[in-house]
Amino acid sequence: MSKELKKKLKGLKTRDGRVNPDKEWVIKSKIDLMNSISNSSLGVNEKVGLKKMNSFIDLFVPKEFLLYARPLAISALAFVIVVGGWVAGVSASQDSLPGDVLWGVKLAGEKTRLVIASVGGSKEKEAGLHLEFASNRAEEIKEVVAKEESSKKVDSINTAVDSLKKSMESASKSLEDAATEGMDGVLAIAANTDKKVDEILGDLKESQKVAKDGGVEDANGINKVENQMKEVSNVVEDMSVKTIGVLVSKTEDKNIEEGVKTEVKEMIKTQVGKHLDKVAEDFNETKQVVQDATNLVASSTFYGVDNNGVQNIVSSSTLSVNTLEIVKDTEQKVVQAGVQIEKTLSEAKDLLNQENVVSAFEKMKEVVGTQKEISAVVVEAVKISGTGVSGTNTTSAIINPITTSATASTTTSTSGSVGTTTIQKL
Amino acid sequence: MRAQITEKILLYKVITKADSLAYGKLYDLYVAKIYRFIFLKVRTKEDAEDITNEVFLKTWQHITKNKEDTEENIRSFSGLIYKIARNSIVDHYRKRSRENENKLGLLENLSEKRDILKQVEINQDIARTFQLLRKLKQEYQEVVLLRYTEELSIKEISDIIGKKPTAIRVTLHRALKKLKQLAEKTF
Repeated sequence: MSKELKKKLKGLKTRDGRVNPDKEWVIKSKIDLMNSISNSSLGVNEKVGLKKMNSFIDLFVPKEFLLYARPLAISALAFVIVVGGWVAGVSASQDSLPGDVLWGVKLAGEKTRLVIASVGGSKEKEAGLHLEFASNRAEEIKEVVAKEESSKKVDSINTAVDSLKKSMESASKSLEDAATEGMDGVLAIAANTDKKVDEILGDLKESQKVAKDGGVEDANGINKVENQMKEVSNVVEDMSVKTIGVLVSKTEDKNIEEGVKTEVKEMIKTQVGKHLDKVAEDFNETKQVVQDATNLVASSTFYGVDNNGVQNIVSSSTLSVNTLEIVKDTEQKVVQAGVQIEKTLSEAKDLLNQENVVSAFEKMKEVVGTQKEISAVVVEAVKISGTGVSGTNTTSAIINPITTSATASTTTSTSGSVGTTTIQKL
Repeated sequence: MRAQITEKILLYKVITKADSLAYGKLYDLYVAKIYRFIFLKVRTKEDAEDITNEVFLKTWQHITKNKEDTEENIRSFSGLIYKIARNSIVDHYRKRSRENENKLGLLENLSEKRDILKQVEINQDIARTFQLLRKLKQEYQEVVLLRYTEELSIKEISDIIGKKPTAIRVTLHRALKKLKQLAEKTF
């Protein structure tokens, strides 16, 4: 019965009859309607922009979806505001320096990038970020040193140096991890390290120079900054040496194709060559410091800038006896080290020319070690001799008189010279 | 589904551009449905025709007038036009009650006006079914017509009537039960 009834109800619209409109009426009615609405539509304005969009959403987006979409949209908006605020904060902190309020935000932003990179598990990316952050710290140090003097300057530099060291250590760790995975990551990290190490060392050297040239006024502060720069430069160089070490180990790996090995060897040659050049350059600088110190202490009387910044007599021959002995002893050590360095450098160069990168690398490490040792000896000697000369335990106390005494009208006599030859770069 | 999308596109054109051609197509799609819906309640052919004309004109005006002052969003043409039709029927009866006119029954009209006796014979079953439908109360008439004649979904009917789908289902169930009882007595 029910089925039949439904069928009959359905039939109401399908069959002609009084329940349906007359066809003639439908046509006539439509014509009338069209005439009416055509006249009335003249004054109707077409909807534009947002109104069109609203109508579209009303018609084509289901109401249920909109009901659910609203809380979702609110959540998304809240997310955008929070993340947008965070991004804006991080962006605003990009120019901040150690000691600034926003510097912490900048570091937090960098950590976020690291977390995101670590999700992908790419050691190459991680190492790249660590190196980038280390480079950022080096640039910041340069900017802080050049800023106006403040009581917090040395502390700020110290903070940045600590951060830089950590970044280099992390980069080193990423390199170790990459070395266990494959060759592509190692090669990429090595190339990046080579580039970044040059940038960082350049910035640190410049910072050291600016600090001495007035960037840091307090003599004690200059000494601290110099030591920090040397210390952190050693950490950066260690990373570079370590990278070459990883590359060298890969040349002995039987699983690596010969073509790749050739590429690796070329990379090692370039980087070892750079290190050898740097050793030569550093040794010449070390030698010059001792030469200047020798000239200084040999003079019976000399002029220089005292602690008050006034050019004056700052020492006499009687006070410089101990200093002279220390300098003479150091001078001898430098001469001996110079012979050793020159010999090792020459051997390393020969080995490089013979494509024996493994032995060349060993020689490089040896000569880098020798240079570091003699450099430390000289720094120590300068410190001690500085105490005897100016009464202050600073390197600048002896360096400043050396530089200014050349222009002052003083009588100086040299007791000798620290070697006669200058070690040539490759 | 395609018919629904076509209908929405036509409505979108009417809303955004006051497109009379698009409205003409909507008229073609809905004129018979609205006529039947009205005719069920007003009983005379002439009244049904007049009200149908009025409904289409009012719907056009409603869609195309500036609605900045109203919160209502048009989501479907059927929902809108059936609502307007219902209101127009109410207005019609108010007017009629004032004029105190006698309403004529369907069968009287079928037998009186025009020469359709033959047609009535042919469609006797339909006429009877229609008569039965008219014996139901207004609420039942609407849901039965919309559901089984116009074949609208429960969701569409709930939009038109303004009640929840569950309430429509219950009403429909009761209406059909009542209609069966009437049919058993008649047929």
